[in-house]
Amino acid sequence: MTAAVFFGCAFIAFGPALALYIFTIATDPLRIIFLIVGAFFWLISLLLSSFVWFVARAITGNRDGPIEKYLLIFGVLVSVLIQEMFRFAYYRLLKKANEGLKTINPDEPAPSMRLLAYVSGLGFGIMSGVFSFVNTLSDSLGPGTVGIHGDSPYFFLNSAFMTQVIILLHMFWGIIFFDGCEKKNWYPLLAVILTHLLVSALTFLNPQYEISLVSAYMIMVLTGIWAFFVAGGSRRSLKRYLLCQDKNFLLYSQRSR
Amino acid sequence: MQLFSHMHAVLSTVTCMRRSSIQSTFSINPEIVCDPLSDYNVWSMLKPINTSGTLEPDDKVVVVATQLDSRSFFWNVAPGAESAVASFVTQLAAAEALYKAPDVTTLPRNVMFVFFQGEAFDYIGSSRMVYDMERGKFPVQLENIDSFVELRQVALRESLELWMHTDPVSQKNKSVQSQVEHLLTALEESGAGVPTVVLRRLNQSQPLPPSSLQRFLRARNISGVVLTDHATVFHNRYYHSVYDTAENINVSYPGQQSPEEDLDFVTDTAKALADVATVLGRALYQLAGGTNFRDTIQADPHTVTRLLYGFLVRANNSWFQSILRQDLRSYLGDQGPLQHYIAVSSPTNTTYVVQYALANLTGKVVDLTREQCQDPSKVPNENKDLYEYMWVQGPLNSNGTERLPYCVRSTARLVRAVSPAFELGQWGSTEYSTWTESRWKDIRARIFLIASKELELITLAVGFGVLVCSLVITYCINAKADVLFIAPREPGSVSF
Repeated sequence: MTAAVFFGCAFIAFGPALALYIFTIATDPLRIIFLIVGAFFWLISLLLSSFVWFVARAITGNRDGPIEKYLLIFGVLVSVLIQEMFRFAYYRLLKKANEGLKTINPDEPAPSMRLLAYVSGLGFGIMSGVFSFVNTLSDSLGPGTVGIHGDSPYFFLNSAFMTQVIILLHMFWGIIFFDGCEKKNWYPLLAVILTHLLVSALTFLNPQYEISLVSAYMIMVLTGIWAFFVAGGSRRSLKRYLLCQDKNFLLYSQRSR
Repeated sequence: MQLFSHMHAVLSTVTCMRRSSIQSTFSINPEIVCDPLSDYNVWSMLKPINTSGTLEPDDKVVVVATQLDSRSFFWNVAPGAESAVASFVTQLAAAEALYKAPDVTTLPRNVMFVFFQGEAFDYIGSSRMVYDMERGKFPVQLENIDSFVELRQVALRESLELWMHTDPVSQKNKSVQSQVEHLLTALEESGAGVPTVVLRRLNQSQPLPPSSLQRFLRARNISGVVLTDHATVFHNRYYHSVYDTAENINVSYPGQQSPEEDLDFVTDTAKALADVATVLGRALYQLAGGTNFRDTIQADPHTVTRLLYGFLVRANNSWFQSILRQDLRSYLGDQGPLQHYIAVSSPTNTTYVVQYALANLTGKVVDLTREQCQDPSKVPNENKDLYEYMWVQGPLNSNGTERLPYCVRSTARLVRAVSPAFELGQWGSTEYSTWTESRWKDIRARIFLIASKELELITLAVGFGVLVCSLVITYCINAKADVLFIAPREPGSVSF
């Protein structure tokens, strides 16, 4: 549908990720490396899950019909589990790498696990978004649009928003997941896996975009709030930030004495 | 709806030929953008002449001409029933009738039957022949031409009238006028014996209709006449149109007949054209100097109807198959008539079929083997300069399994018909035809849905908004990140 839709959808889907990259990741080369390795891990996980799906299809004999849909659901669920498995694997890798990083660079402090959680989550999210949306995006550049057989004309827009939600969700899940692993608390891990399954399952309701998209956004908001608290925020810090009391805090507290 | 109909040529012949020539000069893989329209004229002589040289100035030739091609609005569709087919079929029948006369070999003057190709596109064939004649590249020269008879659109005669058009400008010369008068009387005398054709003269001052004779008159004042079925306004309502089909000249067959029965069914149009051919044949005999056997010359309506059937209804019939060479079988197509567009690859179907039909109708079967027929230089009595030898398929044998081929010796030949403008490199010539045909890519179309402009703009606006918002928010959060996110205290570190 021409360049307007192409750029609009690209910015919708990848705008937040681009902003995060420019301001937080691009400044430090080490963070870039961790981002890319995270993306790579996600890609490997998807390779494995696509292999599983391929084998499942070959076993059932490539028939058409309702079995296709069941196979797809099965494939998606298996893929979610494998992605989370690889997130865990990346966590273990980073834990081991921390020791090595300290010896390479004794002067600079090694990045904290919280930062690595954020970077890895963003890496997962960016790769997931690119993988799922780039194909649709390239088709949107052509002169035509979806809908000649009665499909929804808002396909591109909804896909873009869904991709945006998934990217942000991956970032939040990364933070929560790593924090749970650090504190040896298994409930956050379970929550992450369950919400991931829930969001993926919601996409099966497409093209009823209202239900799937709105629910996904609500889940994103809740997960975001949880991640904010996990990352070290609190109501007090939020109030302080919003009321711009940070600079004057010490002075203020001194003056009030 | 998106239509892809890309033509490589642009603007005009001059531009596209210039681009093609630059490509072919400088490029390893030249990309030619247009091709000149070109093909071959078909010609034959009543008495064989040596084609390797030219005729003596004293040898006089009566030229009878017609056109082979037609055109229409659509590419490669040119049924041309009245504008081309009827006239050249008449001429073929007249040739057959004339060749049967007993004393053709002793006639004082020769007769040249010529079928010009490319006349619909500014007289490509006739202008090329005149050009070749002027430079001595053609065996017959302009000074050998005694008189010129042309057939143009003869199928729609009203009340049996056949009009004779002459050129008023050249007749200002007294000798030309007397020759034209002689020509017209010869025609009228020949027409007297055929009651179904009434020859009519026209007012002296009326100019010629569009005809090949005009190209000859530009070079030299020869005496010529153009025979048509119309006096002033064309009777052909579908001149150079897709609708100029068999129906236009009332060629119709009763239903329920097999194609072979249709082939031999003599229609009224065929009878009428055969009468015109008879008049033409007798007139040519008289103009060539013959006297004794004029009234025995009779055109065969059966031949005419078979030719009309083949060119207008179904080319792939048993007679056309039997008169062609074996590798030209596919030129007849599967079903349906031939299209008489000149095209750019030569020779076209029509040219070949007319040449082989002319050979069949006017030539002789000679007893040669296939190798001898294809190379008669070794055979003692045969002369390649005088005759053309063709190895044709022949009819099917009685079982219907095999063909019985044979060798035909005739004077029916092809001569190149490309506009002299391309020989001279004058692509913008106003003197000669400069028609070219563009090359093109595959023509295809596709239908798809497009989004409304509002939706596109909303998407773009929302995208920009999201991008700007996220940039702003991220910047703000990042700048004060240490306020928002309190790092956990590392054990053993002191901070104030």
